[in-house]
Amino acid sequence: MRILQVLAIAALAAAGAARAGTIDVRIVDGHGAPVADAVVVAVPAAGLPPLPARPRVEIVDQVDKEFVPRVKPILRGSLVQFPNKDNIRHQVYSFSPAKNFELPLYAGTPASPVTFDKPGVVTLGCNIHDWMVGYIYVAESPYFAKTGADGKATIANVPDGAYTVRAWHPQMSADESQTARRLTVGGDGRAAADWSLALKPEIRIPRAPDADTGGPY
Amino acid sequence: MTERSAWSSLRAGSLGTRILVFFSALLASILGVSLAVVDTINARGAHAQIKQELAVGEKVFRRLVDQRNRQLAQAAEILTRDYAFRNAVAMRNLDAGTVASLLGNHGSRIGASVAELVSPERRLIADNRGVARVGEPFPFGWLLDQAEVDGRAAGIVVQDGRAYQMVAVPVLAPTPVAWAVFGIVVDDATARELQSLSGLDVSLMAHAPGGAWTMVASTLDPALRAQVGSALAAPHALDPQNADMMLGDAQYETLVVSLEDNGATPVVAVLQRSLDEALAPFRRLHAILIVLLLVGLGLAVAGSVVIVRGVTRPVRALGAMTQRIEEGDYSVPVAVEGADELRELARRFDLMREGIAARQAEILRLAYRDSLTGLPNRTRFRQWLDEALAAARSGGGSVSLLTMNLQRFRHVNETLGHAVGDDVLRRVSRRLAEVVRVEDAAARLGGDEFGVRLDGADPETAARVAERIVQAFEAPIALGPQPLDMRLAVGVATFPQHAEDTEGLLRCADAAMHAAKEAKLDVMVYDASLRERREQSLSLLSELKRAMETGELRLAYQPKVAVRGGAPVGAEALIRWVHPERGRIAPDQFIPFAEQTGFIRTVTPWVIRAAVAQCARWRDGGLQVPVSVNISAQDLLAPGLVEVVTGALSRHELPAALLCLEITETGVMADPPRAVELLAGLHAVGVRLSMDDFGTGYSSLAYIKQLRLNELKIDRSFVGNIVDDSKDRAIVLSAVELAHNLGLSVVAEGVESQAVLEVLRSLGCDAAQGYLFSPALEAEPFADWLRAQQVPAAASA
Repeated sequence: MRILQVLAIAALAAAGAARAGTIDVRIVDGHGAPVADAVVVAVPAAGLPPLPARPRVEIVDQVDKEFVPRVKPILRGSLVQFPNKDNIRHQVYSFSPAKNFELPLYAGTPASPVTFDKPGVVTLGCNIHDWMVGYIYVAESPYFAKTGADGKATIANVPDGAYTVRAWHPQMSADESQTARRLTVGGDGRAAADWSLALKPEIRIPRAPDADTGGPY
Repeated sequence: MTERSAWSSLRAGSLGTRILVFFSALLASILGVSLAVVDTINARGAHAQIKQELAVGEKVFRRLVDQRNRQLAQAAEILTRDYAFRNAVAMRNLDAGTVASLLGNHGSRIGASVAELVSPERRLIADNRGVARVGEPFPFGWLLDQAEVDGRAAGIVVQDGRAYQMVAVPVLAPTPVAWAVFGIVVDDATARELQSLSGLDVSLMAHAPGGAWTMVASTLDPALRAQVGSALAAPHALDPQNADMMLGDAQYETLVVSLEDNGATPVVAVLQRSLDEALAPFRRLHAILIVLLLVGLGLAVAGSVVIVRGVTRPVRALGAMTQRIEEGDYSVPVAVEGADELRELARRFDLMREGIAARQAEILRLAYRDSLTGLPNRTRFRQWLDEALAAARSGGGSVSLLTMNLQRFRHVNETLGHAVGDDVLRRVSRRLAEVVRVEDAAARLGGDEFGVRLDGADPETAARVAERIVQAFEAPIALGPQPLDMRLAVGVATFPQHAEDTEGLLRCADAAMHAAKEAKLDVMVYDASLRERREQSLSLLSELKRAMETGELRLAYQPKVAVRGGAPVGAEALIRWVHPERGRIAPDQFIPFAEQTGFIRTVTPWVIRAAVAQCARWRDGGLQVPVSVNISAQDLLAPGLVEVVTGALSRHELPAALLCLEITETGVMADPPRAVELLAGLHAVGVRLSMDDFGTGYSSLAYIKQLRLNELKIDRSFVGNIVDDSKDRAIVLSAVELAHNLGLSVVAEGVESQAVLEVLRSLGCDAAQGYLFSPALEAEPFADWLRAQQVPAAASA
C-alpha cells in the first residue's frame, strides 16, 4: 500500500508539469447494458511517455478460488504479485504470447513477482482449478482505466493532446484494434468516449464443488 | 326318436326352429358384436400402444443420443483438459502433423473416427484424416456456435456421404484457444443398437442441400429403404399427425424426430413400428375369438336341438295321443320323459284321457244297452248285425237272426201291472242269455221283442237253436206265488239266403215271427211266400179302408133255427167283401189281418151299427128277429165298445134284447178280468151275450159262470161228426147240460144234415145254424126267406 501511495504521488508530480485533463468513458453491450471490467487505453498521438524508472508492482489476489480482480490493467514493465489468500494451493499459469509463465503450486505470496514487459492480454489460469480465469491487460500507455459496474471509467491526469483510445473486454467478439478512435483532450480538459461492444458468452468451466462445504457440485 | 325325426322337429315355423334360430342368432350377434368391439378396442389399443412405443422410443432415442454426445464430449474433454495439450495448443509450439497424430490417437481411444482441431477463427488446425484440409474453414460452424454458448456442442453431421455424431469442445487455456472436434460414425450398426433398446425400426435421414432425403443409416430391410426418402418428400410427411407410412405392402406407424435442424443439412430420425407386427397378437386373438364363436355357435345349435327335442318330443307325443283320442282310441297311455312341467302336463293329459274314456264307455253303455234288462238294445244289435254281415260278406259265411216276442205279454202287463211286466222281461232276458250263451248275441229290440244273432248259422241250425229256446220257455216263470206260463213266437231269417242287408234281415225275421204267431206255431223260418203274403196284406189294409167308405163291405145273415119246431130264432151277421176286381173275398182272408193290424177296431163298430140298423129296418117291416154280431178279442180290450153299442141301439130305438154279441173263448181268455167287466157292462145295457166256438179254447168254467152269458155256441168241429162219434155226442151233451144248468141256451153251429139235427134234438140242444137251413143271405133275401117260413120269430129259451 505504501508503494501505491508512493507511486501515486510520483504520478501526480509528473503530471503537474503540464495541464492535465480526463477522459470519461462509458461502455455498453449490444443490448445497451453497462459493461463492467472493460479496459480503456489512451495512446497519446505525441508519443508514449517513458516508463517509470522503477516498475510498478501490482497485485492479483486469489480469493475463494477466483482471481481478484478478474481484470487487471497494468502498465508495461510492471511487476505483479499473485498472493494466495486461500488455504489451499494454486498453480497460476499463462499460455498467452504476451507472457508465458507458470507459478508452481504455492501457498501465501510467492517469493518473487512476475514481470509483464510485453503489451497484450495475458490470460491467467490455475492448473488445478479450471474455472479460474483472470486477465492482466498489459498496456503500453500509462493512460488507462477499467469500467465499473456502471460501465463507466475515467482516465485521469491525461495531458492535453490528441489520443487514440481503444477498448477491450475479455468477451468482446470484435478485434480490439477495431475499437480504436481518436480524440483530443484540451480546453476544459475533459473528453469523452462511448463504446458499444458486442460480447460473446463467456466460456467457463463450472466451479467444482467446495471440498470444505461438501456441496453437491 | 331317430335322428331324422329329431331334425324333422326343426321344420320352418316350428317351435324348435324358432328356439334354434333365436338362440343361434342371439349368440351370433353377441359374439359378432363382441368380436367387433374387441377388434375395435384392439385396433385402438394397438394404435395407442404403437404411439406409446413411438413416444417412448423417441425419448429413449433422444436420451441415447444425448448420452452418447455426453460420453463423447467427456472423452474429448479428457484430452482438452490435459495441461500439456493445452499448453501445446495455446503456444502452438507443435506442428500440425504431431497434433493430428495426437488427436487421432486419442480419437481411436474413444471410438471416434474423426478428430480435428479448429482454431478460434474456425479454420482447421489439424485433422487425423490427413493434412489436406488444414487451413480450410471448419464446415460445421453452427456446432461451434452452440459450443460457444454451452461450453460444448454435439450434433449429427453428414460429410462425404457419411454421418457422424460429432462433438466439439473448447481447448481452454483457460479461455478457448481452439476447438477439439471428434466424430463417431453413425451407421446401420448404430441404428441396430438403437433398435435393440427402443424396439423400433430406426432410419436416419439427411436432407441434402439439393432437396432430396438420403438415408444415412437404417434398420429397415434394404428393399424398403428407398421408399422412406420418397415418403418423407411427400407434402406434410413431417407433420406429427401424419403417422402412417406405407413401405412395400406393410403399414408402418411412424414418428419423425428432428435431430438436427440448424445446419444446411437437417437430419431426422424416422422411428417406425410395423402395424402388422404390432397387430399380430391381436390377429391371433381375433382368430381365437372366431374359433370360440364357431364352437359356441355349434354348442348353441346342439344345445338348442337337445332342448327342442326335450320339448317337442313330449309335445308331439301328446299331440299323437290327442289324435288317437280323436280317432276314438283311448287305450294307449302317453308316456313322456322330459322336464317336470311336461311330465306333469302328460300326467294330466293321461287323466283326461282316462276320464274321457270312462265317460264315453258310460255314454256308449247308455246308448247301446237296454237299462231294464241289461241286454244290448236295438241300435247296438243293428250295429252287430252290420259288422257280422260285413264279416260274412267278405268271409263267405252266413248269419242268422232270430226275432221273438212273448205271447200275451200285453195281458200280463195290463192285468198284473208294469212292475210285474218288467220283472217278466228281466227273467225272460236272463233265460234267453242262458240258452244262447254266446256273449252279446241276444238283445232286447223293444217292448216284448227280443233278437238273437247267430254267426255262421244256416237256417236249419238257426231253427234248431230257436227250438231250444222255445223249449227253455216251456217251464213256467216263477214269479211270486203264481207261476207264469210264457210262450214265445220265433221268426228265423238268414243272410245271405233271405236278405242282403241288416234292414232286410230284420224285416224277414219279423215277418216270419208274425207268421208263426198267426199260425200259432212256435218257430217259423222265413220264406219268400211270407213276404208275398205280407205285401198282399199291406195292400189289403188300404183297400179295406176304402171298402168301408165305398160300401164294398156288406153284411150277410145266417139264420138260427129252433131245433124243436124249426122256427127262426135269430140271425148271425157275417161280413162280406165284394172287391170290384177280385170279387168276393172270404172273411178269413182279411179279418185275421184286420185283427193283426188293429183295424178290426174300426171294422167291428161299423158291423155293429150296420147290423143294428138292419134289424131296425126289419122291425119296421114287421119282422122281429134278433141279430148276432161277432166281437174279436181286440174289441174286448179296446175301450168304448159299450158306448158304440148303446149309441147304435138308441139311434134306431131298438130294444137291446134284439142284439146279441158273440164272443170267442180266446177273446175272453186274452184278458179274462177285463172281459168279465166289459160283459157285465153290456149285460147291464140289456144286450144278449153268446160264447162263440165253445170248446176250442181253454175256457175256465169259473169265468163262464161270471160272464153273464145268455147263450153257448158249440163249435162246428164237435157237431159235424156227432152222428157217428159218441165222444163228440158226449161232449155236446155235457155242454148242453152245463149250459142248461147255468140257465143258458145252446146253439149248435155247422148243421148240415137232418140226421145231425135229430141227434141235437135228442141231446136237448136249443137252436141250430147251418146250410141245412140256409147259407148266409143278404138282407133282402134273408127277409124273403124269413117270410117264407111264415113262422113268427121267437126266442127259443
